[in-house]
Parts: sequence; structure tokens; C-alpha cells
Amino acid sequence: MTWTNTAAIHAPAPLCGPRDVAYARRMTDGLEDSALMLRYRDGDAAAFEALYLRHKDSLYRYLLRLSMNPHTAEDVFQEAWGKIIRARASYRPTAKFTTYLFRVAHNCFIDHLRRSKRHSGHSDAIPELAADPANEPERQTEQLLARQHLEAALKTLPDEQRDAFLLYEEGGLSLDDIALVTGVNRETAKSRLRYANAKLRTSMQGAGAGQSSVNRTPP
Amino acid sequence: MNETNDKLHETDPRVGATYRELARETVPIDVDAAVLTEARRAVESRSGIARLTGWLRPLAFVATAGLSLALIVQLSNTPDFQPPDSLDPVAAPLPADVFQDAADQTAEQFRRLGQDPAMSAPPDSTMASEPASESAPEASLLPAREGCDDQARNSSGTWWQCIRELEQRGLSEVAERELQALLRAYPQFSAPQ
Repeated sequence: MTWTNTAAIHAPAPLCGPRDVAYARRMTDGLEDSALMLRYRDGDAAAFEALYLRHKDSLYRYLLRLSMNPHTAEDVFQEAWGKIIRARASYRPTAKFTTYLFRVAHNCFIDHLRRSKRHSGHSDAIPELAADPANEPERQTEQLLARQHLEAALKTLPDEQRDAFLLYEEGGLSLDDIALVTGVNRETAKSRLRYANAKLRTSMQGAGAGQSSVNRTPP
Repeated sequence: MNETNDKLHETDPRVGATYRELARETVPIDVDAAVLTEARRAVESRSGIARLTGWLRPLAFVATAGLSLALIVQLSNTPDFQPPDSLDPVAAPLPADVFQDAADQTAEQFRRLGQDPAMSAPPDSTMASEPASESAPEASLLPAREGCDDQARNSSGTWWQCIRELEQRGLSEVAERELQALLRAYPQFSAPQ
């Protein structure tokens, strides 16, 4: 999840209507995250919209899996973006924007935990995926079972390991970035990610065995 | 160990693929709207402040230029200033001279009134009254202080008479100086024995 296009930063254009918004989106598609953030710092609202569209879902899923609670995820999600909006004047592109974004979100989540003094870890709080009518019933059943096993496995992971796994999968962060976001050294982050993958792989193998048994079950 | 090796060793592609296939949750629409609205409002409020400061800066520049121009015009209309001579520290009179001038003026006033300034002067004004007594009026060609005046120098005869009076008064040095001046002015003059 990296943008390597280093197109020149254009002057921000005022937005007047839907066509202008679409034009601004096209103009910002090739820009790096840091360039978009700098343009937003200078007053270009369309740059922020492009930046937000790039990262909103991955950040939301990170917080959703981390908190295991949709309402907590939404609250922390808004709080994190709000901090980025308010701190735009002091933004300096010294690191990858995704590292900056997920670090802010991680800290917001930690603050939320300290405020609430409790960690709601109910996996059933995550909303179910809407059934795709184009999929066959068997396929839907396989996806549902696989998701249940994966979510159960994620739930059993320690918070630090789950955090490292989600930062790697959702944020696309490197080991160095994960270490920076979580405030540990590189070897600790590497160890957490390794253990998380091992546990999830084991869980996936068990799910595959269970899935086979489901497929063999006559309708 | 570089990042590529880290990915190969620390992650299982099947786990990641399964997770990405299943994790499809998206941000609720109302949350999207709230975040984007906050972002736009932040930019608009900053634009308002920027517009205000954008007007203040040229206004301050114009005000400064106007005040400077008014000051220049005011200075150009002011008449030339002539400092008084008394401000020159070299030409400033000494206190003794000031007292002498005051004493002369006082003596002149008493002379007009026919009184003796030494009699009516206060006891502590002896310094000023003493020079005035030296210049007591007499019917002679001698000036008040020293030498002969222009009236006495009109002719060699009157000039010589003035010199004789100086000698009689004991002012021999002044008389000698006046005699030298007389001989320079009238080289053919021969003093009568």
C-alpha cells in the first residue's frame, strides 16, 4: 500500500461543484499521501478527501478488529481523523503518512482504553457480512465459516500480537513502522507478528478441516 | 535483514489472503460525512482568517505610507530653524562679562537720573558697581575705558590732546599705544615739546 508517484504538487483549486470535485480527485490520484496532506495543510479540501478515501476503510477495519466493537471503532476512528485535521498545520512529512495515521489511531485507541478502563472483546459485536445474492449457498457458507474461524482466532490472540498483525495487514506497515507505532523495538514487533501468524495459520488449518466436513455434509 | 525477507519469513501468505478476502467492512456513511465535514470546516475557518489577515496587511502598509508622507510634507512646510548664537558654547559670555554688562547698563541708567550708583546699589553688588564708578562722565575726549575714540582721532591735534590727557591720568601704556597709532596715521606729525 504505497504510492510511489512523485508528481509535482499543484496549487490548490477551489471546489465549486461536483464536476470540480471529480476533477480534483483525478488531479490528486497520482500524488503521494504526504503531498496530499501538505496540500490539505495549505487549504485544499479535495486533497484531504482523496487522502481519506485511500485509507479510511483500512483504518476502520484496524480499529474494528482491534477493539472488537463497532461503536468503539467509530469513535476512535473519528477522533483519530479529527486529530490529524487539527494538527495539519504542524504536519511534516518525516515518515510515511500511513505510519503517522496508524500511530495516531493506535494512541487514540490506547487513550480510549484508559478512559473506559475496560476492553470490550466480544467478537459477536462485529456486524455480519451482507450475503451476496450472486454467490452460491455453499460458497456463502464457506466464507461464513472461514470468517468465524478467523475472527475467533483473532480474538484469541493477545492484544499486542493482534495489533501487530492488523498493522501489517491493514496498514501495510513494515516491521520498523510497526515497532514505531506500537512503541517497541524492531525485534519485539517481529516476534509478535511471527506468533500471530503462527496461531492464525494453525486456526486456519483447523477451519479447513472443519470446512471439509461441512462440504461433505449432505444438504 | 531487509523488509522483503521479513515479509517472507514472518507472514504466511494464506493467512493474509484469507484475512483480506473476509475483511470487507467499510466506514459507515454518517462517519464519513462527519469526518469530511470537519475537514472542510477546518479549511474554511482557516480561509476566513487568511482573508482577514490578507486585508490587514495591505491596510497596515497603506497606513504606514500615508503617515510617512504626511510627516515629510509637514517637515517640508516648516520654516528653516536658525539656532541662536548663544547656543554656541565658544561664543557664550562668561558670567563676569554678564555682570559687567549689567553694571554698565545700571550705571547708564543712574547717570541719566543724576544719581551715584554706588550710593544706591545694594551692599552685595560691589562687583557690578565698581566698574561703573570708573566710567564716571567727564568733559574730556577720553573714552570710558581705554584709548581715544573716533571723535578724538578725527585730527592729529585732537588725537594728541587725548594722548596728553591719558598721560596725565597715568595711563602711560595706553597713551604710548595711541601715540604709535597716531604716528602711523599721520607720519608727518611731530609731537610738540
